[in-house]
Amino acid sequence: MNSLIEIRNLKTYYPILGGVLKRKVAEVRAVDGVNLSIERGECFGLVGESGCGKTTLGKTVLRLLKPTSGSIYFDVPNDVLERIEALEKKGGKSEELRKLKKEYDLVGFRGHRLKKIRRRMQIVYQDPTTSLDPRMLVKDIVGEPLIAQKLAKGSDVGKKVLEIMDRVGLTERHLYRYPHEFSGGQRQRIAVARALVIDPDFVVLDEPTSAVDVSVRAQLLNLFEDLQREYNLTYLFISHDLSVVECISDRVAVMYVGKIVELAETTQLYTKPMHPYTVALLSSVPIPDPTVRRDNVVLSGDVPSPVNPPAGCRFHPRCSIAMDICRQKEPALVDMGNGHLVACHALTR
Amino acid sequence: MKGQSRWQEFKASIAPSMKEFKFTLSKIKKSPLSVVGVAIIVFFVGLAVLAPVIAPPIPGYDPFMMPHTKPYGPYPQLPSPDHLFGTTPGQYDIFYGCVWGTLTAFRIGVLVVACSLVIGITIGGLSGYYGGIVDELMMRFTDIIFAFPGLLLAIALVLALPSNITIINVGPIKLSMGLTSLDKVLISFILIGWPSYARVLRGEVMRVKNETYVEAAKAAGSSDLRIMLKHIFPNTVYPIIIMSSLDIGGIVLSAAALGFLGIGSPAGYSDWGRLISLSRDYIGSNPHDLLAYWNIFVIPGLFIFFFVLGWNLLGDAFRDILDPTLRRR
Amino acid sequence: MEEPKSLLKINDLILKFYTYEGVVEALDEVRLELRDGETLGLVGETGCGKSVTGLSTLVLVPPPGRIEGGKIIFKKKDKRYDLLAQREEFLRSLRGKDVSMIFQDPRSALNPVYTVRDQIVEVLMRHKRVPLCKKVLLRNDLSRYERYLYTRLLTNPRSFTLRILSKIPLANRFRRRINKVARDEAINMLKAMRIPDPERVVEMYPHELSGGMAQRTVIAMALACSPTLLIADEPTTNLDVTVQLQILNLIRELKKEFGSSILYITHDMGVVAELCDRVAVMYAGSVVETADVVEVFKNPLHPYTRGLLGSIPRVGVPFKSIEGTVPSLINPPKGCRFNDRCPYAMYICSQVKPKMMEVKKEHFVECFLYSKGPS
Repeated sequence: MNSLIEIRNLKTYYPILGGVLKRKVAEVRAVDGVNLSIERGECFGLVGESGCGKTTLGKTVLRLLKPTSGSIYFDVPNDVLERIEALEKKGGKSEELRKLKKEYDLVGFRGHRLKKIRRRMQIVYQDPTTSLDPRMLVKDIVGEPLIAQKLAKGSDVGKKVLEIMDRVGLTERHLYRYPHEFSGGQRQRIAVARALVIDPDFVVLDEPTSAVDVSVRAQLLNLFEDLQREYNLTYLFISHDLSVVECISDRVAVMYVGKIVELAETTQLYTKPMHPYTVALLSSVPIPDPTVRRDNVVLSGDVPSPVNPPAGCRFHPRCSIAMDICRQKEPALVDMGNGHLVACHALTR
Repeated sequence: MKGQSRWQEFKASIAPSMKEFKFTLSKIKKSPLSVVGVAIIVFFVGLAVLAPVIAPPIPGYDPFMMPHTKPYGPYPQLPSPDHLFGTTPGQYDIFYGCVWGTLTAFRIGVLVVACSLVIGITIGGLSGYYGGIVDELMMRFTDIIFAFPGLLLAIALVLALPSNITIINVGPIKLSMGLTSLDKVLISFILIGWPSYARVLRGEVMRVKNETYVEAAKAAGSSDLRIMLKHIFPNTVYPIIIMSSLDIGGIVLSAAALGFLGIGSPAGYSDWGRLISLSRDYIGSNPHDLLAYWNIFVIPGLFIFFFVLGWNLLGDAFRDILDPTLRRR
Repeated sequence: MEEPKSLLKINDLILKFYTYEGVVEALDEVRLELRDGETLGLVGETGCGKSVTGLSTLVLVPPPGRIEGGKIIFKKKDKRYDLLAQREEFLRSLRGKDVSMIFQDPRSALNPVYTVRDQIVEVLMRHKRVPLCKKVLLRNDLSRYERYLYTRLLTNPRSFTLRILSKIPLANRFRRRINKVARDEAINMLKAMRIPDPERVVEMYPHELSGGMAQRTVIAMALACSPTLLIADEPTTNLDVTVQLQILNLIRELKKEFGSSILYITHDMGVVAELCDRVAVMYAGSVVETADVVEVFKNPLHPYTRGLLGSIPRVGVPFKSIEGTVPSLINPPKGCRFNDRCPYAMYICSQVKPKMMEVKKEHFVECFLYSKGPS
């Protein structure tokens, strides 16, 4: 049983151009060294606030953004991964390492190989209004991946489109309409249909329920769960809505300014959060029960900008248990048992 | 899908476009100026189509050349039953000239705008989509063209273009083409006109390029060409449509200006600017009665005026209708 | 029935939008009551009409919307006014001073070409000119000319000559006095919003502010004249969850400091539970249930409220949603607008619209399930 996605030390920086000659003046370190592995068939939740890099991470895995450095391995057998790791540890510039990377590392894929791998990974965006071309009919929107990937032609396209539309709860009548004639929830379903029409293995769900109403949210979440079971999908569920992530994910990772600060099984994370940021985050979610009065941990200040993150542990300016070492050295993710990883000096002494 | 005839499928597939079209028509009806614009253009189209009927050409001669009639006197004549709009000095029939001039105007306007569009869209689209060095080069080239005053550059080009260009000269194959002076005017207008379209389209493409649905198409594996044709083009083309309809009027006006200066169509050609240029000496020639020969410049002038007005109103109407922010009110 | 403590009472408000596709019946006899010193939460989903209810209270609904019926009774200094029957002059004097509104997206509520100072001062100059003049006159380094001008301004704040004078360069140097006083006021407001380093922030442009700071600026503008009623239209929806907590705490504290009543419009039941005293639930253009916040969560009566509370995701419980979709308001269904999705719908629900009834003490519902006797 191998993991479907292996992310090793992924970094995605956006250059900021300035000055007369538009030189690179600074960098936005959206994703700054992330290690992650997603198992086949699981729903992996990724939470964090705006600017933490979770959307960038999702899009980089899909190669919609260009990674600055690091490696992404998609469906690569374990023994190959171990070999690569061993070669890298030896400080490798060896020929074998180069060859293996060229063959398996998604970061290096281009052109035709990239197009083929796109068949197996898709994305559902947050805002269904902007992610659907307003001047295309629904049947063309959903059928486009099939045509682009040359998986079907002519009337076959129509058949497959109808099949998937039926599966997400839309009918034939909806095919010949424009996106603006639908409600938010329906548009999101169209986006889901488009993502699944080519039968991918891995789907990145980028805040898919943020732009819809609460009652529609439940419908969509049910749909996601059913589809995962039926098509044997693996999800990367990105969201800032912690309550939704709690209900649908198997494991959850918390990101802060480009780095993962905590990663654990869902129930573990929500009942026994360790990292001070996770604790603050969880306590700031308003509970829909007026009789419960909680001690909210109010964080001072704002989320730091990823252009110039604080030195050492990025959370130290707002952290209540910051020590001297936190200002100097970045903490690494340490396993505290049961696969519960935390990056905090105070906890991993 | 089974059991549905091809016709029903076709009807279903265009139904949403028909709905949009009906919505557009209703918006046109609401704005009185747009209705006026449409009416004017329809009138001119009718005139152009029915030209051979309304002003029958003399057989054996090029229909665009205005007929001379006897007596060959130097003085222009006022409207009379023989000549509905009178004649110019040199006895060219103004009525004939104006009617066939409509055809010329359409020819100039539509041809120039169409070719400018093709060139402008291609260059602007590539420039906007790919950016980088391609963008820089193209845009500096348009800068050069923008640096010159339009009409002067047009005149210079017209005078500089050769009368005979050789397209292929390989061994025994020799293909050359003669350029009439009107062709030269058309080519020079095209060469000056395309940069505006390129600039506008480039801006629009750069905006749409970053939209989420384009990224979604990339995620599905669509090729660049497919994205440009199916996603970017339909979403960026509307400002260009508006510009082009405004331009048709503008081009005709500029062509008339050149015609008045004597550059452009040959003498005796039915072109509104030409008509006025023929009358140059007699405008205001009688100091006691400035409007003595009013028909020689007022009538062709009115034709130009209404033609340009019609296209302007149509362009405004397009803009009001197609502007997505105003559309859904 | 006149509630002696009600600050705002909306009676049978009818609002329609005349669009190309048809007439959208956005608000259908909305009944709402806000009492002195309370925070009323107005909850509902997209399209239920909560935002336009807020805008209607300020009589700011843009065309093609038209208010076609009802009364909005607002209490100002112990006198009651029907806002829909007032002239624009009067309404303009109310907006910003007695009734303020804060919007969802702070960045678009702030004008990007003006600094924070300019925007807060604009509100102050509109409504608080006399107190500011008084402050200016307290200074003892005014020239005789300036003193004369400001005394004139005190008696006649909208004096025509002074307005002309303020446009002439060199002659308008007297304005710097009042500008300085206004700027100090603005800094005080920012301090009250718990913004650190207000001297620096006050000169910033909106694009330099983070989401939380921008929203605090908007709140500062809204509270600058200590309004009795603050309408908040989803102010924390676009903010991060930790910043949302800061802003909610701020609103709670400011309510005590400034003594305003708040009409809090949102779709987040969690925020409602945290902040509000009473809740009004809206669906498709009418208020279907109004009650104390604990009552609503513990004992929801209307089937829509039950469905809404039930669809909040909870761990270990399968996701429950409400069947069907919100009906189109262009040709709304006859009778109760929820009847096609209601699990308890009866025949009468599709024929007649139920009236608001007080089922328990202070707990109002619009539903035939609770009507006593034959309908």
